[in-house]
Amino acid sequence: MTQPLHNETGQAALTNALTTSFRVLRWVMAGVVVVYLFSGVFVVGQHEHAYVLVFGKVAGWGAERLHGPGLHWTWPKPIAEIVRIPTERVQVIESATFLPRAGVSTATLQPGADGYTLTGDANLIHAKWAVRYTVVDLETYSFRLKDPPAILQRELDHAVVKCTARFPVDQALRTEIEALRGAVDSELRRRADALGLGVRIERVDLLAVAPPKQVAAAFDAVIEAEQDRSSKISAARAAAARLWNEAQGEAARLISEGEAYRRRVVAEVGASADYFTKVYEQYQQNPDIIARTLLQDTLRRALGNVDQKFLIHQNPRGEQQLRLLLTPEPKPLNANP
Amino acid sequence: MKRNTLLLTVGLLVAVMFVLLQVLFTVREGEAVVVTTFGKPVRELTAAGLYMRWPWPVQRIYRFDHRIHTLEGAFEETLTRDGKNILVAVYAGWRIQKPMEFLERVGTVEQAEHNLDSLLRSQKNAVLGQFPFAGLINTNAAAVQFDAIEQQMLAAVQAEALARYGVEVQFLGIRKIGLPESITEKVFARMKAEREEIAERYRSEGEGEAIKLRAAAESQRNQLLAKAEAEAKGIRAEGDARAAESYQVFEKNPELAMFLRKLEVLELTLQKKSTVVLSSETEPFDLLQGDKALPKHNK
Repeated sequence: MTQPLHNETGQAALTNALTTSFRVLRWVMAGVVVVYLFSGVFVVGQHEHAYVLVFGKVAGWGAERLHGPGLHWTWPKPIAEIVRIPTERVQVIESATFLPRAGVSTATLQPGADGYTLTGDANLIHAKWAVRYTVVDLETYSFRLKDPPAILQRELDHAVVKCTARFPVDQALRTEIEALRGAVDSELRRRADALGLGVRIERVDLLAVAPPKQVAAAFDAVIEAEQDRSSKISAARAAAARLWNEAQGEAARLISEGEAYRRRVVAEVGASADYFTKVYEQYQQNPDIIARTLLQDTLRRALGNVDQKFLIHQNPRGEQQLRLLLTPEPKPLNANP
Repeated sequence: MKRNTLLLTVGLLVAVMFVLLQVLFTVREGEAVVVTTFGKPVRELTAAGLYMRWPWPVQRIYRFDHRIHTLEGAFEETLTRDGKNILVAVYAGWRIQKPMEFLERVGTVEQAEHNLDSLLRSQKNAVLGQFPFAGLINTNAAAVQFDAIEQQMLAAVQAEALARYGVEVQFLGIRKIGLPESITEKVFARMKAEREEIAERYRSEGEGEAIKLRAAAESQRNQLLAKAEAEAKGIRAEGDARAAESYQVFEKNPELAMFLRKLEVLELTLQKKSTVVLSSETEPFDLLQGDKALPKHNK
């Protein structure tokens, strides 16, 4: 009798254990389901957008296909998958395709190792370019292209090679850098649109451009010579300007002297004419006295200034005698005679 | 009973999930799938979504990346029509256009890239051999045939890639143009010679321009001075002419006029430190001769 009792006790214990296990299992399963559903919660960051793929296909219609920054929920894996795409922020790709190896000094450029590009006049130059872009067609960018930045970098290189190939080296290196940049910029825009890369090119930048170091000194010498030319021309221009100014001064002096002469001559002759007219009236009445008076007055004034005056007297016998020496001593200035 | 129901539900769920995993599959965005039945391709799918199939071993699925891949061709030497040896690297954007043919003829992306590389290389050499070096590199933009070269390459590669590999080459471009290493040294020598010539030209231009500027300035100066002298002469002549008008008054008595003029000249001429020798006959020094100088009516 004890055996069946023992069995019953054992069965009861097993049943109890199973009941408890099932209860626990039920809670665990419920918990797993809850955790599973919560694992579908996802956050889209500030500078990104996200697509949700449900069974591999983009879920939603129209604008709802794209999830902006914020907290979202979708079916967890393997039903749904979240694809994040960086947006809004301007992205940059730099191309070092046309740069030489760093720290290596050789007489030649090794293809594959030393990058460079050919100019329209078959010269070699090094350059570093960059493109700034924004992703505008997110579906194309995410699902149509395998590695969009790699494609864009190749397109940038392509535009650089194509545009540099028609610029002479002087223009590409110095005088028309902006034109070259603009040409590459528009070529890249054209290609990006034609190929439907889903990006908007913001700007292409030429970060650096230089001749190969093997010929850098020769290029520097040209710049020096050009500066020398400029300074010579500037000096000549300055000298020319100085000469012109001096000539203008000289011309003004000549004209002014001419005018002074005219004024003086007119005034002097006018005065003489006035004087003559006045004297003439008197002279007509008494010509001898007026003439002699004028002569004597003039002699008096004129001889008053003279230091040494000699009189020669001729006597009736025809001998000449030195008669008189007036004021032998020099007189002070302004002294009365 | 309750426990059995739970067990049954869980078991059923697991079984259903196992079956579903065997018969359902997804095609992801940007993916192409080929379904084979006993190894024979029977269906190709490029639209994303959930699809059904017979379970393994009846049907198998092969997934391919259906997006555009880029292929970078080798940077190697080729000859232009005019016999110039240049290095050109071409890249291409391609994608699987016919997945079933791709599976049968190529199989993997790596193999496709290998095949496309060979194709690209042979077409690059063929097309570049038809164009002169100046068609790639030219300061005359109108003579540059970049687009024509690329279009021709693309057309040739496109047709063959689609027919042979089920692959569509969507675009193609020249990424690098270079010269053989030994040539670069000669190019540098030429570049140096060109630079020296330009430097010399700049220097002589500077001299020449400076001389021209100075000469022009001298010429302008001379012109200006000549003009000014002429003007001054004109002004003086005008003064003389106006003076001559005033001289007319002297015609009333030219002798008196000359007498007055002489007086004026005499006064201006006799200055200090002059020595004058006069005759005692000169008035008023004739007074020194005594009676002889007395007025006649006083005698």
